[in-house]
Amino acid sequence: MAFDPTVSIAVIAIYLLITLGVGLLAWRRYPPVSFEDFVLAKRKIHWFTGFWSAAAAQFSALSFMGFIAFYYKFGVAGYVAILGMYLFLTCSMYYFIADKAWKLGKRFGHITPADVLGEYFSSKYYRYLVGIALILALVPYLQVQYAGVGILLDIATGGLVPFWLGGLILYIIMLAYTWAGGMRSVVWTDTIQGIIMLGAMLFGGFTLVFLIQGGIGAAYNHILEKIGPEFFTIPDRTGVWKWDYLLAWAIPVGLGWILHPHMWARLYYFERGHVVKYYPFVAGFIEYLLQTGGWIVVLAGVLILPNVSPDQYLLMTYRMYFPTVLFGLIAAAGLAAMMSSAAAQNHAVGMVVTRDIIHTAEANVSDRTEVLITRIAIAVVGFIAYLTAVFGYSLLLTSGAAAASLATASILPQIATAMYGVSRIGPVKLTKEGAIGGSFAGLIITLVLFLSPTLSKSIGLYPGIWGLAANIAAFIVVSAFTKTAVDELKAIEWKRTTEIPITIFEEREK
Amino acid sequence: MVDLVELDFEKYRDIIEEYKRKRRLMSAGVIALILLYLPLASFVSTKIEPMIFGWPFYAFYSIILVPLITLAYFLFLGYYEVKLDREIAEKMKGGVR
Repeated sequence: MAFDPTVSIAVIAIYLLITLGVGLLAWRRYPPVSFEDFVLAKRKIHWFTGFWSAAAAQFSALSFMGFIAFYYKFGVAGYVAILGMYLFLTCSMYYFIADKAWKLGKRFGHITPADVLGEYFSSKYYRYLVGIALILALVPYLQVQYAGVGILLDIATGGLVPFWLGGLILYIIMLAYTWAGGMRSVVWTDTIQGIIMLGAMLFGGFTLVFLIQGGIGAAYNHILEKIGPEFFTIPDRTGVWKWDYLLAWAIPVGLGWILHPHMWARLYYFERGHVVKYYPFVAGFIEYLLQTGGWIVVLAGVLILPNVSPDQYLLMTYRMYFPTVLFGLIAAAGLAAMMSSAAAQNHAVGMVVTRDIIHTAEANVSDRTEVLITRIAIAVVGFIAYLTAVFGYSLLLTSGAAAASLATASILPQIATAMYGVSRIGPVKLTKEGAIGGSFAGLIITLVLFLSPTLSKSIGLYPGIWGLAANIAAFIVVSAFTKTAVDELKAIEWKRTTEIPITIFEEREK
Repeated sequence: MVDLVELDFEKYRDIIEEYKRKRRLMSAGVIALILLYLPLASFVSTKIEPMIFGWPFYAFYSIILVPLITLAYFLFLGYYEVKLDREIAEKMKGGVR
């Protein structure tokens, strides 16, 4: 179909204005009055907006373009890797951890993962380390969003808005409402963005597959004829995704999403605790719809556009088959996905800087100053991520998966011990030094392997799984040779706190 | 912050143990589902025939069947755990007040 960039630009501009308006409306109606209000909306978020915000914070450039690029390149192996990773590992992680984190947060006032670990292992240095590790893990993830917006606006405007300008537009608009309204603005805009994104992916996918292929079954048959059965098998047609590699990739990546501070904060912000029990279902269901919509887009167009850049496949297909107004709406939905994650991540980085670094160094900072520091950190780190996207863009999925696996390799074993109140493993008493050593080893090994692809290739498997293994090994070995053990009374108190029914917490809070 | 200091945990030990036992049973179901997805998906990946509703069997299995069973289980878990939580809280209140 004929593509008119001015129409597409107009649709996107309207969408951006609506988003900005909603974000600022949240600020006008509920201006943040304290640090906890700015970063967690006083833990009073309604379940509906809370779940949509969590889903939208998870939807990102990865969901909109990166994952689809993956299906396009690797066929069903990509879909099984992504959906299996999310539905089984991420949702199981929600099941095993979400309600415990909510209860501990209610009792001890936690906001970030470093709050949990710094307190459990009684170390302010550990708090610094975890804060810095999680910022390191979030920046590439945030970079993905800027890169995604750059690509999207480049295609959606027929090259009129170049890559660097697209990312800059995202930065300015998102900064405006995040700076003003904090978590509440982020949650309100996320809700609208999440609904738009999911609607567009399902509508677009089903429309395209019927328009181009005549239905889903027909699409399978055409692909079987033209590409062959290897599009639907594991290992995939490129031979990369064998089962061992797939598992080694899915474990650190799937378990890492929740550990990012922007997702972790979403375990605490619900007003009603029972809601977190539905996290695995709601998060899994929304992601299932989204990813299956994406898979159907691939079934629709993989034969028509067999040789485009994987990251650009989705938008190119829509641009070919939809009228410009509709294409503009789809592009706006893509922007919604990226902006929702970028806002959540940027807001979280600000929160981590203030809470885990500034507050740890100087506890007597006023609430007002903390809010100001958070806002400045949001602006500065967001701009750094924007610059890294402009000057060092890499394939979307590669950066996003790296970010998640860095979080897993850095803190997963320690978070698990804190959530379950574990103070020893067999005869070994877990120590503060062990926890720090484990996190440090996991972080360094993963970073080194990501930064040296040759080394990583020669070792085999995915870097994140080696980082996780290094963390566990160092955690136990260092603990065995050091003495500052986790306070057993504290471990018991934490364990008991997580065993108390949510109903009791809610009644006591009234 | 919620204050739980005066709760006498030992008094409720049996009730809490019952809660944990039931939860452990449910967790086993989650782990079983993970096992259902990964190795079986690997096994069927080499057999793309027959077609089911026009879909290769493997695609039907991994895209429709297993995800929907899993989601249904997670929905059940949410409902069951909230119910259990309220029941246990009720029993604990009975013991305290």
